[in-house]
Amino acid sequence: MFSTNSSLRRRLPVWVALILALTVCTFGALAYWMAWRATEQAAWVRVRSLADRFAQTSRAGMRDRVVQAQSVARDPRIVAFVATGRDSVAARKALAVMGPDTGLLISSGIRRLDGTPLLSMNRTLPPAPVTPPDLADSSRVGHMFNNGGRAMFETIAPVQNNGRTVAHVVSIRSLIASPATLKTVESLVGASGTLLVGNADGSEWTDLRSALGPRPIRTGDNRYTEGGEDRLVNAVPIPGTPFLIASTIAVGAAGASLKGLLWTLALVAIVIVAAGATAGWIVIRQVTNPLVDLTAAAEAIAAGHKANLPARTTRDDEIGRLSDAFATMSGRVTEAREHLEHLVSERTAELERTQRELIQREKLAVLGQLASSVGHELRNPLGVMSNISYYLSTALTDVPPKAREHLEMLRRQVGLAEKIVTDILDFTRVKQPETTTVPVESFVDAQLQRVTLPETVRLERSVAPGVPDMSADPFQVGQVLYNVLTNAVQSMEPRGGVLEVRAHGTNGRVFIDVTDEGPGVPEEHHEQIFEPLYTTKLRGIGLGLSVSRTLVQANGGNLRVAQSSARGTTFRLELPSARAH
Amino acid sequence: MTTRRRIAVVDDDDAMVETLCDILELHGWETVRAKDGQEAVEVVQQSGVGLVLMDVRMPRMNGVDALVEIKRRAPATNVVLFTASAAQELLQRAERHGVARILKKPVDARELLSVLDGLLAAG
Repeated sequence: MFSTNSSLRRRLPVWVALILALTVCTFGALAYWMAWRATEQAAWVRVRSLADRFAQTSRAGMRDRVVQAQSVARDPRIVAFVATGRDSVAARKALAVMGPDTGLLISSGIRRLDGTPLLSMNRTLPPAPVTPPDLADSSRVGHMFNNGGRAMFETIAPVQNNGRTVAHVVSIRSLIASPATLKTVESLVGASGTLLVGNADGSEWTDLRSALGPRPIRTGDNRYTEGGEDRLVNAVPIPGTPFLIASTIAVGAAGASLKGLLWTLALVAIVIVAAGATAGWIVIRQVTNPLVDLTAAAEAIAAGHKANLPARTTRDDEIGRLSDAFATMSGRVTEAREHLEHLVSERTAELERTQRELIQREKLAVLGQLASSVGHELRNPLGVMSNISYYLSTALTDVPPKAREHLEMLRRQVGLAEKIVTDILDFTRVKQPETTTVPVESFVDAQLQRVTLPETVRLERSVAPGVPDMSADPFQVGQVLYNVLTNAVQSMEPRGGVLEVRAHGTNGRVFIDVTDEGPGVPEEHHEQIFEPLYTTKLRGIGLGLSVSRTLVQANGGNLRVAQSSARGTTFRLELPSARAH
Repeated sequence: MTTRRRIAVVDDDDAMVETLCDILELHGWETVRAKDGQEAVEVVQQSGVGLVLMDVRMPRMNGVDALVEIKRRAPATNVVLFTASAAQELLQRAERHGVARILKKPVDARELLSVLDGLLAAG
């Protein structure tokens, strides 16, 4: 099964997860960046509109203060007081118009041109912090300054007598916003947003609560750093004043609301990746389960084992079709292999048979030569002996009967020896068979007549009706059947038994089965007994069956042991029928 | 009559020649002997016998070659060959050159005598 790292089932889910993670992260980062940009943009818009709006509001307020101071400076009571130094009560009444009704007025009064106080309301006027000479004759708002931690500014209006500036009406006010205003600011730019007012030269700033000291903010700036924190800023001048009004917000704060978004994105990403990987794993399992089985089966086939085929699926998709095709293919492979194995074993058996036959033929050839020359050499002495016995029995007319009997025995024994030699020569000489049509029944009977059956042997002969004639050399095949019958009779000596001869035919072949009730032939000797010089008899040279088989085979037939047991043996003589030719 | 019952017996086996001649003489034949084909040709020419009994397989000159030579010199001579296992072509050659009879070994004495008597009567 799949156990290596190269397995698709392991790699594919990992790849799917990686690709999903990459995609989700890319889109998440993009979304987060765009959201950040949008948020920052929105914050910027808010910051700018805030400063612009407050610049307009402040301008109106400041102008009112300047106009008020100007009208006070033109009041005849003030002008008279400055000119005469009398009736300070009337002058105070005139000054009282400027406050303290708003609560922001710290101090008011009249200052000489040299900056010293001439008349002070509420509390003593401080010396003029800044009195630019070019503005001495005009009404204006002065620079902001820090007075005990509070941001303050002056409004100054010239007191003129006969077209000449003789003194200034001054009011000092605290630059502070009402809680309602601060609340409005906070609602517009958030808690991290600020609304600052400061001198255009940056020397003093206030957050409308207290003085802050210098800040590096100039008109038109977009960003500045305060306390190591990057802040967006919109600084616009308040017309008619030396002041800038600036709305600011921390850059980080602009994106602070996006933290939640970031976490959401991360969570979504994790869920998508996990779900994607799981889905991928499930899909890949679906796809690869049959593939795993197929792979195992293919590997088994490749290794030469019998494939354990995956069950045919009911799927009709490509995988299902692949499984079916594979099952069909492996079936064919198995068939082909079995066929091949069958062929190989058949051919091997054939080769072994051929080899055996070759060895047998070689042995026979040698034996044939030997037998031929021995037989030939024996012939002359035997012939001479035969001549002598004839001569003696003819020439000796007056011999005792016993001697004549012996002469006759000599003649017969010589004749017997000659017969043996003739048989050997006949058997070993491979003659071309002279094939004719041979009727089976008369053929069997003729050979049975040649055999001398002892009284202990009972013959059971049967020839099936309609047995076709054989096509064979009757002399050669007759020798064979005679030999087989003789062997059968001898195998039952001395006890005797039934000799069964059964002839039958089928499929163009004729069979003559000879069954004895002898001791049987062990199975391992079923082929050996057909080898030359193999014999189990006490007397015999072991040629009979070997020569018999050679002769039958030369006639297109065969001779073999059909069955054998302790109760007897059946030799089957098989020959082609005449109809088959 | 007696001159006509003359026969040459040819075989490289002395015992065979001896026993055959004895049997033939017993039956009134006059015999001459030879050990091989070449000797047979000479003996037949010198003695003028009309009948030859000859083995096929012999040294120097075989029975068939001797037959051819004898027939060339004395075509009227009757030649009987006897053999155990001579090659078929050799025997066919003998037939072409007018062999009187071919007998198969072992030759039964009675059969031999009747064959020779038959030939003598015929020719």
